[in-house]
Formats: sequence, structure tokens, C-alpha cells
Amino acid sequence: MQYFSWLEKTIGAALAGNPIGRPVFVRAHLELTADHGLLIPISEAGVAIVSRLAGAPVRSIYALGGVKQGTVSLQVEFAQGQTSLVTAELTHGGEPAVQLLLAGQNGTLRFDDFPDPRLLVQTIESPTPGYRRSIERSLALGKPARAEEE
Amino acid sequence: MPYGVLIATGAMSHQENYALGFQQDKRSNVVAVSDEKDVDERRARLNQKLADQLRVPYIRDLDEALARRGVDVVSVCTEHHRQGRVAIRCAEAGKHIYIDKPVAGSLAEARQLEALVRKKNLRSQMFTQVLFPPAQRARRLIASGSLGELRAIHHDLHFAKGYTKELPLKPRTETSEPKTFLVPDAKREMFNIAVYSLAMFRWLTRRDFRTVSAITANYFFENNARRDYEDFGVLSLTLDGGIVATISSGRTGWKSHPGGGTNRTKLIGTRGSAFIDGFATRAEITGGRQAFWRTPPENPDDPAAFWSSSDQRKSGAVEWAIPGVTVSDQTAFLDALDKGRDGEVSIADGVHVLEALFGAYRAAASRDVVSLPRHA
Repeated sequence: MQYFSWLEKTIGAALAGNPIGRPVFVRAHLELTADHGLLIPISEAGVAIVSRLAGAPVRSIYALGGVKQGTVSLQVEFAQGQTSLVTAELTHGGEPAVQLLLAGQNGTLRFDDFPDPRLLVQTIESPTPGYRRSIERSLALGKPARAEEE
Repeated sequence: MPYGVLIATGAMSHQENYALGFQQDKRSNVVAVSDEKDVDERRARLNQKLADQLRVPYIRDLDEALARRGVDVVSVCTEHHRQGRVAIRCAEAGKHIYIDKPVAGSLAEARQLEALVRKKNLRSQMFTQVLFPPAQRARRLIASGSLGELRAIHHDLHFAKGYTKELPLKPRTETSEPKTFLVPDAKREMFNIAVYSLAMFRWLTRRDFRTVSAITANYFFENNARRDYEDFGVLSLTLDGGIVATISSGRTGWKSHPGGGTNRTKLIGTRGSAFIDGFATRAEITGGRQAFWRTPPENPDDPAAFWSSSDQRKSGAVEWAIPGVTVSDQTAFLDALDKGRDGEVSIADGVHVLEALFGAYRAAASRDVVSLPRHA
């Protein structure tokens, strides 16, 4: 999905120069698809972007909801204690929407976008490292899963 | 006859707001400020201060104040480690209870209070933000049916107060059963702020919380880190019926927001979703000079600027177009008393919320998911 690389570049540029201090918490609402099957790949891509913005590897993922429910919600803890809540949601036939909130140690970045659906039609590439197995394991077990190298 | 309201405790607490709310409603009459008779010198001085502002006596012995004629209601707002026992004494004396959030500093006291209030047929209300415009809007949206069946609800509530420091980052080791929650320069902020989100979820859905997982952190405040009080927490919950809920809650410092702080709610339904941003910046200026608001001055009595009487104005910040709160929380409680019922969020609701909060601490300490009690 072309949009994710643009999103990461845009937020990364906004954070250059350290205007909000070190990011310690990220909330990401990713309402980008009407396809249930894409919810986990989208949430995985979200975790990868947040991990790079936080500058820390993922320690654990706790996943709630599920593909059938039409919403996947991830509670993510990073190795240095930063946290994130990433949700992938269905668009219900409406327009795609993204809301991000980055709390830094010295300020906040808010980002709201309504991306052109044409940016969303490409295949979502699995990030490296990947988090899909951790997400699916957490959903299956109903408890946090330690992030594994994928 | 107006309802006689006893105020327990005084200044440098949310009582500054609650007492004023009762004083401004003609149906109630603030009769005195009181507290436990062995409170320390600072608390006694602050109790006296609020009594002087309200022009009512400060009765140092709570039992003596409760025995006075004309006391119908007690507004209870002490430090949380003693709030349960103070409220229990007030309920034992047969007084209706208006209470600060969370209900108590221990589940045992909270449950004892709930049972006592029920046994004595008393009315109660816990202060929350459910009458604030974002929560009211969320309720209207859900009630309209436009979202379909509610599947998930997410809330970010961050208070933009206090002077932050870039603390070194490391995972926090949480205490499974915290006993103290508030000192003059620090609060346990998941306890103090996530309670609003939990109470709103309970009020919006009328569902029980089933499980909770949480992570607490020290990101922003040196005093919190020194005292081992978290300044931030994230929670993930399930509710009856499979509703998923997440919360981020904390105090993020003056510079994190030009107004009171972030307050964002996302509702996900089977037919649609809604995003409510209570304090979005609706004006943006791009120019050669970066404008920035000035942070308020420090108050030695309130170094973290927790309370209303501290100057919290950020000069140079934008104004928001926000509908006012139509009914104060205290007026809503008086309305409920007039109708012989509990307020919007009762002590019984407060106990559910407290179970989720203490479950969150256990979950954060064990890094696991905690199951919560099922209620009839």
C-alpha cells in the first residue's frame, strides 16, 4: 500500500528536529479497507511504522477484536517502555480515514487524514521484522504475545 | 428546605469545584467544611481555607459535623487512601453521598460502601465527565443507531498540566496493589484519569467489564518517577457482548496541548464509525515566527498544578468553540435527589470502575490479562 510509505515519511519529516521530544505513546486509528481480510496486514503495517517512529523494537503485542468483528485492536509495548494502541477498522463503505496521536516527552503531534482510495489499492507488503504471527497468536490465546522475529 | 451539604475536605482538591457547584444551586446550602479530626497541619490549613472562602465553619471532627441537624448530603473528596473510610462514616450516618472519583483507595472499602448505601437506601453519585460535551455527543451518536451495534470504543484522555522532563525510558515495574495515590506533587495518573474513560464506557454501554490488560509508564514527571507513581497508562478491555475498548490516560505536561489536553473518542459500530475530538485545534497559523503559548506560573501549594485555584491559564493559546456543560455535575445530583434516584454514575457504577482499575494494576504488574468479577 503506497500510502504507508508516504505516511511514515510525512510523520518522520514532522518529527525531524525533535519538536515534541522522544515519542513515548502513539495512537493510530487506521480505517482503510472494507475487506475484513486486510485488517491484520494493515494493523501489522501500523505496528511496523510506529516501531520505527518510536525508535525501539516491539516487546509484546496484545490483540483484541478480530477479523470477524471488523476491528483489530493492538496494545503494543516497546523494549524501552514506550506504548502504542493501533487499531485497524473497516470503512463500512465510507471514505478511508487515519487519525494519529503521538505523545512526545515535550509535546504532541496530531495527524488526521482522509486518503485518496487510489493510494490504497496496492498490495500490503509484510514488514521486516513482521508481527503477524504475534498478532494471530495473541488473538488465539487471548493474552499478550512476546514479539518474535518473523 | 434546601439540601444541607457538608463538604469533606477542603482546598487543593476537586472539592474546590464541587463545593462551588453546590453553593451555586439554590436547592442546596453548604453548611460546613469538615474532615477526620486527626488530619495533618497542611490538610487542616487547606480545609480552613476553603471554609473561609465559602463563609462556613470548619468543624474539625467529622462525627460532630455529621451529627449536626440539617446535613442531608456529604460531598466527599479526600485523598483516596482515606476516602473509602470517610464515605463509609458518612453513609453510616445516613447521608446521601456525592463522591470524588475513583470511589475509594481499596476495593474492600468500596464494596462495603456500596452495600451500606444500598442497605440504607441512600442516593449517590460519583463525579465523572459524562455530562461533558464529548461524552454527551458519544451517547447521542450511539442512541441514533447510525453506527449500528457498538463493537469497539477507544478513548485518549491526556491532561496538559505540569512541567515535564525528558526522563530516561525504561519499562515500568508496576505494583499489583497500590495503596497511596496522591501527594501534593504527584498523583497516580492511570488511577486518576483512566477512571473517567472507564466510567464513560460503563455509562455509554451499561455493560460489565470482563477482562483488562494494562501497561503503566513514567514518561513525563520527575516527581512521579521518584515516588514510583505512574504518569501514564494504556488499558485494553473487553466488555460483555464482546465489545473491545482501549484507553490511553495520563498527564502529559503544559506543552502537550494549547488547552486542557487531548480528549479523543472513537466509536466503532457494525454500520459505521465516529471520531469525536473534544479539543481539536481548529485554527492554524503558518508564518515566519512560531507562536507558542506561555505556561502558567508555579504555585508552591500545588507544584504540579492539579487544582482549580492554581492559575492554569496559558496566555496566547487559541480559544475553542465548545458547547458549555449544560448541567453541572452537582446540579445533576440534586436533580437525582429530587427524583429519589441515583445520579448518572452511582457508587455501584464506581465499584465496577474501581474493579477494572485495580485489575489494570494487577495486569500491569503481571504483564497478563486479568479477568474481572461478573455481576448479577
